[in-house]
Amino acid sequence: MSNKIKQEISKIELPKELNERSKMGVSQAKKEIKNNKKTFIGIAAALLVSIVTFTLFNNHLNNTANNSNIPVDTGDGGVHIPAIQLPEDNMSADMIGLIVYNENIYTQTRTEIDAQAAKDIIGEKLGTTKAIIDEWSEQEAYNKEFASTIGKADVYTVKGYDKDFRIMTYTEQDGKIFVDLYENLNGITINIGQDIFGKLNIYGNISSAQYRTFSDWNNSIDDYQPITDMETLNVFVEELNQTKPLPRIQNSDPISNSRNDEQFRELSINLNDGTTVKLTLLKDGYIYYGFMGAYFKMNEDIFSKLWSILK
Amino acid sequence: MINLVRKAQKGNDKAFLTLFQKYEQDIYRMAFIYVKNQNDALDVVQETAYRSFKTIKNLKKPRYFKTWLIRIAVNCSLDLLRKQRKAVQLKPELEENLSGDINEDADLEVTVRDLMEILNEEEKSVVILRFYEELTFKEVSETLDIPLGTAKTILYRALDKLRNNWKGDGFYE
Repeated sequence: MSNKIKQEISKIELPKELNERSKMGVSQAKKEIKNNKKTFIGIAAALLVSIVTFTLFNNHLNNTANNSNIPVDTGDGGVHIPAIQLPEDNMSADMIGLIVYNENIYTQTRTEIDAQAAKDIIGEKLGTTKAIIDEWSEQEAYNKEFASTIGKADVYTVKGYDKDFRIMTYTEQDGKIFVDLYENLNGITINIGQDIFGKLNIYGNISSAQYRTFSDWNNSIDDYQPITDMETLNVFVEELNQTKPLPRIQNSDPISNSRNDEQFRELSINLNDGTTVKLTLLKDGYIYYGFMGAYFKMNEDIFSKLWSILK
Repeated sequence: MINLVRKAQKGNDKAFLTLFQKYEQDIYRMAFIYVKNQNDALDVVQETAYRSFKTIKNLKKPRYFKTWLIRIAVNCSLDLLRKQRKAVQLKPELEENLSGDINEDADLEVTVRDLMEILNEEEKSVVILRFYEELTFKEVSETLDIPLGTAKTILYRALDKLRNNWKGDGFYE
């Protein structure tokens, strides 16, 4: 491809110290890697001693400790979603927007609000985020209050919502207002749909709703179709509280085979307070909300009534 | 190249430097678009070299070295901007519905200054990756961790801004 943008960028002159600066970066890293190796050997030796000691004294310890990020079935119909942990391979970490507050990790959510509506439900200021988490952060960075991946922004409570569940950022820059909602959807146990959907205050507060197909969602085309049958929608929303949570496990997650127009709809529900809750619905009765390690299964009859109007 | 990556993953700094220097000019020019001056762009290059050598052992698929490195360079540039000013927004504005005959025509008249001054950070990222690095939309979306549709929307918005600027309506000036 030959294009003017490439030609223009290629005109940026290169300073003669460029090569030198690359070398400096590499040698700085090399030094630290060497030092870390020395420390690692020290720690490994100490750890080995501890492990041997621990094993000797805990012969009967049942080794089922689960340190991973994988959501698990609690055995009584619930799902436990572990607190966000950095994967060993940091580079594969999805850098979604997140904020650490009150020892919980709040992630960017699928509920949106416009700047004007935000002014009406903004609550008390909790603090200001610090931009200290990136792909290379150690786990301890996640333990610092107001650590975040979103740069610097003021954090507030949201009127009408539990601050242990939802907080918001509100920033004015260059005359524009930026608002985002963040929710604590990890480090939690969900026993029934109400544990999540109840907190979203959907039932009884709907002003309107619309949906779009997979292709439109995937291509960011705002071709929304309005929902006029509010009765069916209300029955569906009430039933959300009774849905059964299921852990999202890579091989059995139904969404992986449903990314098509036949099986996938995005449902947007506008609430009276100006928030818009976005749910992903799959034809077989599954519902997804936000970046979380669980999805929900609904009673087939009620689900299929709503699905039939999302054509 | 894959052999060099493997050597670098074992800690061979010479192999890594050989690889890195293939891309250092690209990284410098990309950084320059974000940070707008030589000193900061050189800092970004050094920081990218530092972070990438430190973490190359975690790169699982050596064939993705280039996009992996570019991703680090973009993050280093944004981090530097974050340190210098209040915040870099991840989602600067709600996505507008773009309609009409917007095409992916890169042959519009544009200067480096236009790219630096008219586009916001996410638009710069998509334009640089798509046109300067010549990545596919799929690679752009994977490098920046955004949905494919969003990458397209951002690119079209950016091109639209550049085009409107060239037409001289002054809206973005």
